Amino acid sequence: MAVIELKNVRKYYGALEVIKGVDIRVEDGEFAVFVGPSGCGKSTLLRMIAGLEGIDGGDFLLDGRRMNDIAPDKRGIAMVFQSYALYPHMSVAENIGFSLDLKKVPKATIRKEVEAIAEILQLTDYLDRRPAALSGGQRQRVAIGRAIIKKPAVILFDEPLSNLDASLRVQMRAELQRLHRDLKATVVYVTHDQVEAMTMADRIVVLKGGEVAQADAPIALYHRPDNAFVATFIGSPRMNLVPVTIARAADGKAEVTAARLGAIHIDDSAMPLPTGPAQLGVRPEHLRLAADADGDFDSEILVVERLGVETYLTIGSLDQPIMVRVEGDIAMRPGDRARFSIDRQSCHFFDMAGRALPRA
Amino acid sequence: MPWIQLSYERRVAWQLRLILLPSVLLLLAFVIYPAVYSIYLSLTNEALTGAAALKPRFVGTRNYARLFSDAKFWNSLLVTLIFVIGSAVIGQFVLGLVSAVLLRRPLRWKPIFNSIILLPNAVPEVVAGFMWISMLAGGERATLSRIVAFFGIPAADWLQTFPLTMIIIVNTWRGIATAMILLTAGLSAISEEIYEAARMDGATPRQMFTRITLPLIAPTIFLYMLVSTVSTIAIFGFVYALTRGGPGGATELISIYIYNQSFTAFQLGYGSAVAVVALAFSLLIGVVYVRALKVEV
Repeated sequence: MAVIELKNVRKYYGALEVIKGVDIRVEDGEFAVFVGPSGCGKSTLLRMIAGLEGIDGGDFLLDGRRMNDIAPDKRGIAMVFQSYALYPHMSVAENIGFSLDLKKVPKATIRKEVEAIAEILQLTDYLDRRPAALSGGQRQRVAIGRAIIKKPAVILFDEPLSNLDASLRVQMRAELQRLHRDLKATVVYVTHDQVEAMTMADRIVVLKGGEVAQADAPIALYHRPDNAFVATFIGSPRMNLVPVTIARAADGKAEVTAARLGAIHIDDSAMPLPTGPAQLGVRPEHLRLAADADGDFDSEILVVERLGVETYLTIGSLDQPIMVRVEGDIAMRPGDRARFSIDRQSCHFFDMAGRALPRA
Repeated sequence: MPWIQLSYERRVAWQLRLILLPSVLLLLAFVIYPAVYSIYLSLTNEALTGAAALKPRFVGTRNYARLFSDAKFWNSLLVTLIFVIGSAVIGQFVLGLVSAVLLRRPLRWKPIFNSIILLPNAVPEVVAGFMWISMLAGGERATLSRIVAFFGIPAADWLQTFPLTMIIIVNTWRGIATAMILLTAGLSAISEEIYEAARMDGATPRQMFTRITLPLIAPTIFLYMLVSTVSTIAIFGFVYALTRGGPGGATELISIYIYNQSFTAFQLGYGSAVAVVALAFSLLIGVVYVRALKVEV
């Protein structure tokens, strides 16, 4: 059992408050991902859970037990560092077994446990090597081995894949998920990469400026962002935000007008949108190329990015670009004009402060 | 061949030789030549006075044979050994390491501590010598005597009563900064995350020091040991200023013995033989460090 609860947790560096009263609950066995841009406090929060940073306000509870003043090694928590932080003068086996060696566990027992873990992590052939003689992926596995040999209730990962190349990252993502399934430990994983967050997490905590912007299941964050920040942070390419004016066209119908997109009618019979200035949020995949006669607006195409399986078109203007994601390879050129339609069901609206306007 | 027609690699090779030339010339003139000349002198009865001064003779290995039965020579070797171990290997190293480890932490007055430790290196050797003479002089008005009087310890003539201990203390004082700078460089190569990982693994501060810090700075320690051992064997100035090697040979380092034999007893040939043996010892220590401990120099 390992339920993590952070209650109104705060952290100051001098007079600067970097964690501003955070409340997070991670259930037992859950894979939680803290995600956010640089400087949002996600790593600090992780280090506070680890015990490497003090907690200046609020409580950190593990299974209901207050952990604020418990030493890092007494919390039953292991951590995998961004730089792996392997001991360069020790072999792979010594690195993995170091925590047991410190506890004076008999050498034979350590050897047995290290071998069992090496087996799981496919490190058996490298046990006598020094970290310097390993590839990035192998070092990563040693760091994981060093964490799991302690049989921790909670494993913390601090951007563990950021030093790996793209293909290895995909492979390690799958390995980490498999490991999580096998170990059934509670995992808190920090990343700035929203793709990592979306693919691995049971629950994502989006952090912004030391506060929780939203915490929910990945797909819920995608479909129902609470605010413009989460809306633009989750999803790739990011959601387009367009300043619009909302007026009432008829009962249950709002007229949404944007400078370059013209006016569209949105069915808001379930929950009327407030009239006045607002922001329209529409994901690139919810804009479509339309036949000449149809569509909601036309625009010049500024940039074409052809990836084969899909094509990204940048339209609008350079100071207010709009990204459109079209399936398949579209042979268009910058300077062409085309008509586009907006999927009305997938439109998001935010007030000028960035708060989501409820749709239903 | 005109310069311009040389291949790039050969041009670079020539440039490197050109850059090295001044150093090579200086080494040849002031290190290699004197060393070779010393070896030559050590095989003669060259002296500054008497018949040998007028017409020095080749005496073969007679100087070396004499050296082996010279109790004062063996005494100077022993004094040098104690001096090197006491001041360089133990004093400077231990205090330098302690300073480096302590000053790595965020301390409020860190720049001031740093400056204080570095000060002894800024003082000219002879000035330091005179300063310590006044500190360690006999009589109740001398600085050290007045300090220890606070603790009820009677005044002493420190350089007469504890001569070797005193020069070990003075040399430790001079060398802490060098040790600290080198060891700080070694320590700063260890990333903070390694210590954090060790904390997560349950290492106590003591275990972190013995299992992480020491093994990781071992190469720096060995390099420091090599440099400090060889340079301490060659120390002359301030010890000569303080004690002239006395009393009764108690602080007669091999460097002072060489000087005394060559320029006090005027036996240049014999002094050179001692110098050659000292050089051989330094070389031997260097080779042992480099080979056995795999020090990278």
